Amino acid sequence: MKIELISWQAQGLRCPDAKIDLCSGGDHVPKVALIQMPNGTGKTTTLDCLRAAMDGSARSWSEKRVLEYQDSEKKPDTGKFLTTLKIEGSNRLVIEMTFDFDHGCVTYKTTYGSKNEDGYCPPPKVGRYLDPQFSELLFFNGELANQLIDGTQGSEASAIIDTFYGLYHLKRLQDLAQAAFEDAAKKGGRTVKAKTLTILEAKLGKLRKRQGEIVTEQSDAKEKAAQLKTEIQALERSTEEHLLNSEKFREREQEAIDNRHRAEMELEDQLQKISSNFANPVFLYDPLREQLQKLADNFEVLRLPEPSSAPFFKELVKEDVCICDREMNDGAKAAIERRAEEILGDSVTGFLNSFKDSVRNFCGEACDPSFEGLMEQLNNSLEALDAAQSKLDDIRREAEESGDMDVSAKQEELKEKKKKIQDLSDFIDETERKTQAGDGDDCDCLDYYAKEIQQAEKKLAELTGSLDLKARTDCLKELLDVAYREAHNKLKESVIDDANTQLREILKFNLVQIEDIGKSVKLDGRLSGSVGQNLSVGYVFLAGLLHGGGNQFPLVVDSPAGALDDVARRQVGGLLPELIGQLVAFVIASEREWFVEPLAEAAGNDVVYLTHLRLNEYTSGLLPSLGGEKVSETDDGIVLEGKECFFQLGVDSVE
Amino acid sequence: MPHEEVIEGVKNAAVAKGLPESAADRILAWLNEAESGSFAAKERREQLHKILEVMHGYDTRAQEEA
Repeated sequence: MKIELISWQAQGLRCPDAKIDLCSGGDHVPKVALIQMPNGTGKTTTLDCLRAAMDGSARSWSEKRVLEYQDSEKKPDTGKFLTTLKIEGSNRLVIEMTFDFDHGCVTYKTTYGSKNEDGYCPPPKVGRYLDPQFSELLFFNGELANQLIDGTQGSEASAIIDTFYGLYHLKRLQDLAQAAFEDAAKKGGRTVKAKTLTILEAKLGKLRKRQGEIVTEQSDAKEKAAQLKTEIQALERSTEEHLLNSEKFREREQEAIDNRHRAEMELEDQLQKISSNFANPVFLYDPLREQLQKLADNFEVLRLPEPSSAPFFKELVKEDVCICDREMNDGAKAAIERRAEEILGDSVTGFLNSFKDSVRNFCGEACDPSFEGLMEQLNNSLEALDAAQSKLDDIRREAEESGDMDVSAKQEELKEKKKKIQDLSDFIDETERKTQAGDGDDCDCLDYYAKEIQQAEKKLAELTGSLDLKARTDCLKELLDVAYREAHNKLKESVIDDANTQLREILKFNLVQIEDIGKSVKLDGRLSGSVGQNLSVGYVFLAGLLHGGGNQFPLVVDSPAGALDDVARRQVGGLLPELIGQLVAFVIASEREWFVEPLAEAAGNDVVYLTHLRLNEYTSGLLPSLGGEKVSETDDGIVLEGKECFFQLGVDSVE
Repeated sequence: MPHEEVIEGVKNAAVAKGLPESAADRILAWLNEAESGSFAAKERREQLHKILEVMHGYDTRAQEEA
């Protein structure tokens, strides 16, 4: 699916009346559209209306919200916002929003090709991509990229994958099934005492609520534990580096580190060997080799299977010459027939012959080292690892006792973090253990709640006579859970691989890679990158989704370079056109420097420069010096096209 | 059309549950309609009932739990 943003037009709204045509009246959609709108020109109104036009969300706006968009000076009864999109490179989709300020509502009109309809009705093939959950991804605030990394944004990063690939429909089907069951249960429950049902439903509600809370707490605990683990590793590395720089401890520290590394490598090697041979029973238990060979030897001497080999001898004796080149006379024929009987077995022999061959191939030579040998080596490596770690701990203790404040402080912090991580692990273990006797509504064991909920639901189903429907509903929900997990994990892996490939190319000199996508986009080996790196990761992640599988969607970005320094601006500016098919960026004058030139260069100068001003006494005075081509002019707004005029607008003159 | 990983996920999950091929087909048909954006509420429920028809019922579940 290819969707491009062509133009929009506003009238009677908080933003100045204007038409913004990204194609400059032609058919070509430029790769980059830069719209410079100084503060107070109505950028937020424009962005809100663009998004509402695409996803139809203005239909549910409150009266209060609708009135916020009314032109505060003219106070018209109605306002309009018209958005034009190009679908699949040719068809135009026009969505017209009419703001009725008297009644506080917004109505839509949709035109697609020659079809004109009242209401928000984009064609189904397009509508799927204009779903509100999806359209959120098309409108990107430059700060959101940062928030994807630190997890402070609204949607979970992982949920964005679900949105893009439509996995949320699996959840919708689950919810529909549950709702249908609950409706049926309610109808069936009218013959049972209402009070009994109410008490049971209340209990079920309470159990589900607590279960949900624990799941959230567990997820938070896992995130925190992972974060603490990274911090602990960083602290340990820092302590090691500090001691390596110390005259007193350097030699011993290095030796202990080398020993630890050696033990780790040996351990890994041994585990690898055990793992690759684990499926081999003969490896695990060598006496089995001898016993299998004995079994094979005890079978009767190799014989040919009768059903498949008898015809051979029957045909042979009819020949004039034997296969050994001797004349087939009566004596030879009799000898062959007699011997054939002796060496032909029954069809079971075919299996036995095959079995004997398999045993011969399978058993082969004894494994070296054996399983027992490898287990012993494994134990030795574990002991060596423990010893190396103990030595390192001793050196730290000594450094602490000798008055090294740096080591002291780090060790204190390490102790604290290890205690926290232990508490978190204990909590996580508690949530993940199996339920046991004595568990009650004050425990944190998820298995307990799952079983209690199951029993309560079953009881409810019994009372309402809906056991069979419950069983079918549960079966469907379980199936969808499994399907979701499989699809989500595979897609997530694919997104991460593609993004990392892009990042290796783009951030050659300051590489950062994505390790996982959960609540946030987790970077490999660090909690966060630099501002520029985070933005790069955020853009690569989103752009990969928007342009996966042959799709193309416009990315509308508010303030793409806002908080970045010059280095990061150049980096991001050069990056965006490589990632995105159509970029529509709303900028203010202070963002131009270091950003627009690399952006234009990366886009092959396929850029339209638009400057949109609210007309007043001050801005009217600026117009002669700005130049540019007037592409839209109304009594309160003007749009100028042109690169010179775009750069001419001074930073301190309008902001 | 659901993504190929979603299709594979649904089919694999249905096989793992020992359900007939029609189970995965009906679920995928529902997902297809849901994605197209033209799925009316009444039809959504009707299609859901068709899916539930081929899910394991109480007798099968009771046997599994036993």
